[in-house]
Amino acid sequence: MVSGEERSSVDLELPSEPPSVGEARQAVTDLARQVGAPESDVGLAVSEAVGNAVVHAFRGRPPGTVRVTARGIDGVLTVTVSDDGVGMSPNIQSPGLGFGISLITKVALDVHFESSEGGTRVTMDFPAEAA
Amino acid sequence: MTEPLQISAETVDADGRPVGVVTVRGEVDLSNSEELAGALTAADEESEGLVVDLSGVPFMDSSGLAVLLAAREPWRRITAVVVPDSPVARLIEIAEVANFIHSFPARDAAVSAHAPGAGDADD
Repeated sequence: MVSGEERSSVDLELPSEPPSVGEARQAVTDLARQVGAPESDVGLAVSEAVGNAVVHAFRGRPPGTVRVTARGIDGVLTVTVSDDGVGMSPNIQSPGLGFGISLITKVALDVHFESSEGGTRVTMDFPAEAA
Repeated sequence: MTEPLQISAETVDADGRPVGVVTVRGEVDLSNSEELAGALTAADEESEGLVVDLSGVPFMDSSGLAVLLAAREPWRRITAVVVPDSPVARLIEIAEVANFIHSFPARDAAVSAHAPGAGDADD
């Protein structure tokens, strides 16, 4: 990945479309590099979380918005991915064969999922030794 | 935004057995994994093995992994060229699919695994 601009935090509102996966990953990975978080693991988790939102959150309704925030504080990089879609539900058409959530739980220090009729929010913590 | 993939394909010989080699460059995610799927589908159907060279892939997520797993056929096993300790290697490890996608650090080894009697590409 190409190194981007210096960031102290990330706050993005993106359309729920596949190109948003890479845009979110690039932005958060840039921040991860600065705060000493594991870039590869952070990038994978963001890609999976945003990808889940793009594929699952707006089934049966028009595309919506995916918000991605990230901030490094007190040795922890906290990343949130939220959407205003339909909430979490099984989807046998998933292009990731259901790997996404499993991968996120394996690479993050801590993961918290919140789902309601108003959408889904995933909060992920990573070690960040320079934060 | 994820850059478009660069993909090339050829057929090589592994001790008399034709093996398709698909070389991929670029990050693989939801925005372009269908490109990868198309390339693997289009790989020489006469080949008896398929090598996916991922040494030029700095990042891949589960959408790419799913494409690799879906490309496996009973009559055509898949090996991959993966840089050790790279993000792709870690993905294969933590997804626990190493038994389904046999990885090698170099292309020659990944091709040789398809040679008659090699056995390394067998599940």
